[in-house]
Amino acid sequence: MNTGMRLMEMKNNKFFGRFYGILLLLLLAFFFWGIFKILSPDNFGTPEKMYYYLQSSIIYSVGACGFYFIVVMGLFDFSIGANVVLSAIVGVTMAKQFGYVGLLVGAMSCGLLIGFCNGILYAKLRIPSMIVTVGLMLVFESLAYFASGGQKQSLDSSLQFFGKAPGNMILALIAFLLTFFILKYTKVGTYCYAIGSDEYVAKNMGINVNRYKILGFVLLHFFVGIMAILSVSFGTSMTATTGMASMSRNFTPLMGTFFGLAFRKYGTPVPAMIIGEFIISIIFNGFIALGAPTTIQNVVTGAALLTIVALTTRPAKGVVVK
Amino acid sequence: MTEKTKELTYKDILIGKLRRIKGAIGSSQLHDFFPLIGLLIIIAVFAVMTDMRIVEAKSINLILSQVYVLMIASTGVFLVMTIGGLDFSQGSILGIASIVISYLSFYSIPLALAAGIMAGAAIGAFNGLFHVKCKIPSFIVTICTMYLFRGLCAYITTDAPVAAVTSITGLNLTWLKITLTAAALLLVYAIFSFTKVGICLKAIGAGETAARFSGIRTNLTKFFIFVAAGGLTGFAAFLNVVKVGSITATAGNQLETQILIALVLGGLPISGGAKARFSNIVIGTLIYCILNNGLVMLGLDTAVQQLIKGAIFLFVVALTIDKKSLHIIK
Repeated sequence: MNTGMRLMEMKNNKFFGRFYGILLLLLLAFFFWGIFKILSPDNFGTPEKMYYYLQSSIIYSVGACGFYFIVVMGLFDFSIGANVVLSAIVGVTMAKQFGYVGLLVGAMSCGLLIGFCNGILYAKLRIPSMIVTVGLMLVFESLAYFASGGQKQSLDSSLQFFGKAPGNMILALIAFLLTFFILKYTKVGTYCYAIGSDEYVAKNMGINVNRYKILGFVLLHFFVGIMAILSVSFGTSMTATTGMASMSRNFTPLMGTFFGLAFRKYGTPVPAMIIGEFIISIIFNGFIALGAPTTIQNVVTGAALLTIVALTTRPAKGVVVK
Repeated sequence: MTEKTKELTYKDILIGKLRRIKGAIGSSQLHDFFPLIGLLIIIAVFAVMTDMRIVEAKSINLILSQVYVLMIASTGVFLVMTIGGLDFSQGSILGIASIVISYLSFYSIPLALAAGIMAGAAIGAFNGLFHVKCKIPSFIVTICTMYLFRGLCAYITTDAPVAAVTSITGLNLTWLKITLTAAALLLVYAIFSFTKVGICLKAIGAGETAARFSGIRTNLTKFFIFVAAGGLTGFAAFLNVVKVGSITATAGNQLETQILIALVLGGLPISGGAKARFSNIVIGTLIYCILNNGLVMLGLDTAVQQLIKGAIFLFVVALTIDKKSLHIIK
């Protein structure tokens, strides 16, 4: 029996089949770790450093989990970065008054409100999500600027529990479990997949498509609110920027979502998003360890993502892809 | 009896006329003029608010200086969006092509121009190849390449900006920039409107499967449209270098979003297809640049400017978007 046949048998195995995708990703992570460890044995890949890479990557994994709800329905949102900034600033401002409760409630409820606003405007105005969220990104960036008064907002040193382990790991784990639960055990998850698969059919089957799309936006921005807490706790401060500068924050979570979509066929999107972001973090830090400037980050993530998407996309023959 | 018939006839005529006016308001014919009406309204509003300063020659010249690069690059994306695709790599294409032009400008400026177009076209081909061969949505491919080439642009300019030959800024002449922009627009307009290319692109945008069964080589057309979009942005990069003289890591930053906003403001449907009009490019880029400059002239705070810009964008889109052509709103 050759290797290909063994692989096929493993994929079809009832037990191993479920974990095939995770195994593949872990092998990929190990592969990249191995390469950079050989090239830079002193500066890269010690257990402490790997733990640090994981901690920095889970921030984006949480955002990726939120993104998954709308990307799987074929929608998109450009206002993620603006939400991270606005929710973090609202969270930090409220934390000054109410401590951790202010930080958590402020950032999450700001995220929820933004999600609701995006969803309602998208559904009621019937403007494509990509367009409506570009406009909203401009609005939210301005609001963040007003909320911060144009000043850097720093999180008090006594309120940085979610900036490092175990605080960040606990919050991220709750977010991952929540995503897993919603996708696997609730109507929302099932309907998101149904709408993404064929919106017409979903509508004809009695699904209130608009309601679930709005809910998708709400969930996305709720998770982005959590991402904002993790980001501002990790970086200890947040500065509001205008001129669409928040756009760059949109794409790193999206990378994880692509991993989730690509490995969705193995039934494990959430672990795929977590390990996917971890792989991106390994590659980026690997290049830094080799002495490459930080500007190489985008090259690495872009190339890695394109390769992974190209390798994992298996479209049906004759399918229309726009 | 005759009088009554005559009276009824007048009524009929009047009702008929009213119905025709009502129909015209709701029809797509009038709908097509919404972006133009929007442009005229924006010019009128800012003319009043700035005491006519925005329509002075100095201001027009300033606005035009920002229009050239955006308009040429938008032309390429217009073609991509007509087929229903999206291209988010335009900013990074502009950055890389500008670097190539700057390097080669020391040898020969025409060579640098040709190389800039080639560099843009090569990145476009890269996009097109992944999109067509690997069947990855254009949006995803171009986001990846945006990252990749934006990073490359930043990497090359890490130590210092890439300077072009100093004499290149001598070409920063209004008449030359207008001529080059007009030449690019006219060329694409002629191809889009007077050859079967335009029909093929609209057909692909409206229904790719039907277009394929109608004998259109959809994959090849899509590939070359991405090449053309890249090449056009490479051409726009030449005007960018002529204007700025040296390239930093931020060259072309946010260009893709500016293009998207401009084209949407110009009335281009995001799903492409038959409703795509060449005028969307010209009107859209003019609206975008006038809006930008008008708000600056009002002396407002940057954040307030952006808030107004966002609100106007949402309002204009909600008003002008053709919902009938979008069967499923994604």
